[in-house]
Parts: sequence; C-alpha cells; structure tokens
Amino acid sequence: MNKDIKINGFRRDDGKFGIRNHILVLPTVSCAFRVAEMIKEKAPFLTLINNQIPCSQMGANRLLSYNTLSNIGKHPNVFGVILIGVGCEGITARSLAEDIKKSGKKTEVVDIEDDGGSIKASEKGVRIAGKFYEDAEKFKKKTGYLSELTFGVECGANDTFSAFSANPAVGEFVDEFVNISGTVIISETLELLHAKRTISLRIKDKVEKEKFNKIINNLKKIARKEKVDFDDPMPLRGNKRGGISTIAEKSFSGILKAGKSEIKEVINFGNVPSKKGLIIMDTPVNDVLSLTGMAAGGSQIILFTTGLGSPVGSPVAPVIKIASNTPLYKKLSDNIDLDAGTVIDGTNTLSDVKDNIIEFILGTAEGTETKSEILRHVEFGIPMTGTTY
Amino acid sequence: METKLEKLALVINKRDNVGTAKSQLDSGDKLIYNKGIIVVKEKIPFGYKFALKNIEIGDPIVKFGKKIGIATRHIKEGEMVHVHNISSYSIKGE
Repeated sequence: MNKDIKINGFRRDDGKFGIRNHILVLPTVSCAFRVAEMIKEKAPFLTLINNQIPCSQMGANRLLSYNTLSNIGKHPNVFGVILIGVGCEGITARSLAEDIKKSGKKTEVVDIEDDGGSIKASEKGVRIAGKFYEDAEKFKKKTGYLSELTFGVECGANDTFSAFSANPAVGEFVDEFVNISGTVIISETLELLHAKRTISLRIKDKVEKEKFNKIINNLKKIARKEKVDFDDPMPLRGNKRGGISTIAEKSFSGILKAGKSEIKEVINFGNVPSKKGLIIMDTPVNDVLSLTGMAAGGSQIILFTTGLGSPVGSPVAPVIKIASNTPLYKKLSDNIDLDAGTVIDGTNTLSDVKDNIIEFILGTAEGTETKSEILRHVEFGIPMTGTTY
Repeated sequence: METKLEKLALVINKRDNVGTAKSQLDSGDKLIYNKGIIVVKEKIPFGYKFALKNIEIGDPIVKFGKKIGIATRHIKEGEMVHVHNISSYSIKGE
C-alpha cells in the first residue's frame, strides 16, 4: 500500500481528518431522547445518537458514559453537535457541550426545562439545526492522507468460513495499513482471552503487556464473581449455527482479522489511542457496544466481517460489511457490502479481496454510503458497568 | 467417485485434525487427502467440521495448528465434529 494515497475530507480545527460531516443531535439522557427524535423528524439531515443512559449513573460508569459521549462529539467525522438535555440530567448537556467545544466543533444546547417544554425545545432545536446545516455546507473538503485514518475492525455473527476468507483478507489490509503508519483498533476482549498467549507475544512494550494482562484478568474476575463459565455459554447460539464449536475456535478465527503486526497499545473503552499502529481496546463482545467504543476511539471507518450476517451500523463511522461466504452475500444483500466468499470457491485470492476492500474504502471515504448508512442503521450503546440507583 | 479434498473442504494448517466443508458433504463421499482416502460417514452441513483422522476421547481437536477443544467421545475419521462431541478446555488453556 502506497503511503501517499490521498483522500478528500474534512480537516477539523484540532487537526484531525474526517470523511463525513455529521451534524449530531445528541440527548445526554434517555428522557431527552424523544425531543431529539422530534428535532430529527423536522431536520432529517441530522444524525441522531440513540443514547439511552439514565441520569442516575455514578462513579466509574458515569465517567465511562461521559467520556464516550464526549469523544463521539469530538469525532473527526462530526461537524457540530446539538445537545439535548432536560435540566436535571446526570451528565448535563451544557457541561458536555463545553467539553466538545474544546475540539473546535460548533455546539449548541437545548434544555427542555429552560426552553419551555418539549414542543418549544424541539422548535428551538430545528432552528439551530437549520443554521448548522448552512454552515456545514460551507465547510469545504480538503486533501488528506488515507494513512491519517483510524479503522475499527470487528467480526460479528461469525461462521467457520470467516477464518478462511474475510478475516485473513482484512488481516492483510491491517498489516499493510499499519505499515504506512495507519491506526487500527480491534476489541471484544472476551474473544481475545482464548488467544491471549499468541496476542501477548505481539505486544513488545512491557507497560502495554501489563495493561493487556490487566484487562484479561479483569474478565476472569467477573467470570468468577458472576459464576459464569466463559467456555460454556460461548460460542453464542448464532456461532454454533455457523459451525463454530468452541470459544477457542472463535477466538483463533477472530484474531486473524488483526494480521500479524506488533500491537502498540492497550486502551480502555471509548478512549482515543495515543499511538499509531495496531491497538487493542477493551470492549464487550456485543457488536453494538464494541462499535460504539471503537467509534468513540476516533475510527473514521469500521470494517466488519460476518458469516451469518448482521444489520448493525454506527452513527458517526460508516460500517463496511464483509461476508465470509457468497451465499450470505447474496441472501443479505441489503446489509452486506463486500463478498470475501470468492476465496472459498477459488475465484479470488485473499490478496484480491484485500484489494477490493481498499477500493471500497476509498469509495466510502469519498462519500459513497455503505449499506448500513443507506438503511440508517445507527446502533449506539454504552456499557452499563455499575448499578443504577 | 473420489475427489481431492481441497475441492470440497478447507484445511487451514497441515497439523489440523479437522477440515471444514465448503459445501454440504454426504455420507459415502470419498475425499483424497494426504495420499489416503477419507470416507465421509454422515452428512456434514455447509461450513461444519469433520475429522480428518480418528480422534480418541480426551484428544485435542487441532485447527489453525492449535488446540481448539477436546474430544468428549471417540470420533471416527469422516464424522462430523461439533458441540455434540467436543468441548472447550478450561480458560486456563491458552
């Protein structure tokens, strides 16, 4: 891969480069969601963040939510954010707006209590949206480099073919991309658990190795506390249907999508990497939560391999779906962008599929919508790690 | 009629003792592999695994050149390999 591959996109005030120009309508608590929805109904160009956190989060969970929402607001694919609060919420729209503004983004706040109730608040929101729209239209694209981007890489609803086609093809892309100083995030810690020795060997930095051990041990602690056998309920019902028999099989298949390169950093959910290269983010294996975490981490595009199919998308980062087998690609053509199944019947090599992935990425970066964008699949979720009172 | 295994199934690593069916295999299908013939003993659905050699109860199931589980029953060459005859080893495994 040539390190000088150029793309057109949006150069933000903080220096980051985005390939979309979203105007977000972001409720900072579940009670504000309906007004956010009403605003989106009248201003359909907005991107609605389906944030359903309650106001009564505390401690570490509250910090996690705050950090995730803030990083989504600061995302390079985002032009501006209209925050919707009630007035009594735990994470106030005002404080989040102040934080997001630090990255140079346009923000405005709608407060249901201050602004006179749902109808008046939504009218205010629509007027703000109109102004944002005009300003966003004036924001012209500039040239940047593909290597400036961060890719999130995910696998969901795996079958046995993923290991032969989609995952190693993505792995080839990942190796080439980090080689030109790009950044790639992988996640889903429970899946990494069963390949932990193989993964640990790829982490050279002692501090990062220790962080990896910590997130693995944390999971084991949870397993003991909740009396859950991480072997037993896994693989999930869907994976079994796809022929996957054990969690180890799933893990060794999954890790193929991360290529062979050194792992540079291990970070917590929703954080932005501080280094370039291949990064591990600690997330749950649930696709919606994992994608939300990787998006908050600044991923401009997400590659998602699947064997049984998944409709899941993400609001700020386009998700590119790659089928592990051709029957799936044909059956779920609404949801799948690329077919890696041509490797199975021998029509293509892994390298061919990797080239197709790159071509598709370049098209996506220029503005071509992925299937999940077309269908407006904008799933969003923040892990609930604490008790809600 | 005998067919080369590679036409109908996938083996990821030469140390593997399981192959993955590229399309459904039927009982009686004959696959040429490693200078021998594997006779498929039962229907293997699209994407499912089958044994490339006899596997004793307690033996590791090897895929990707790595242990992915252990046999909970004796498995004959050509039989399906899935949750009914293998299980995960403990998470202390890797």
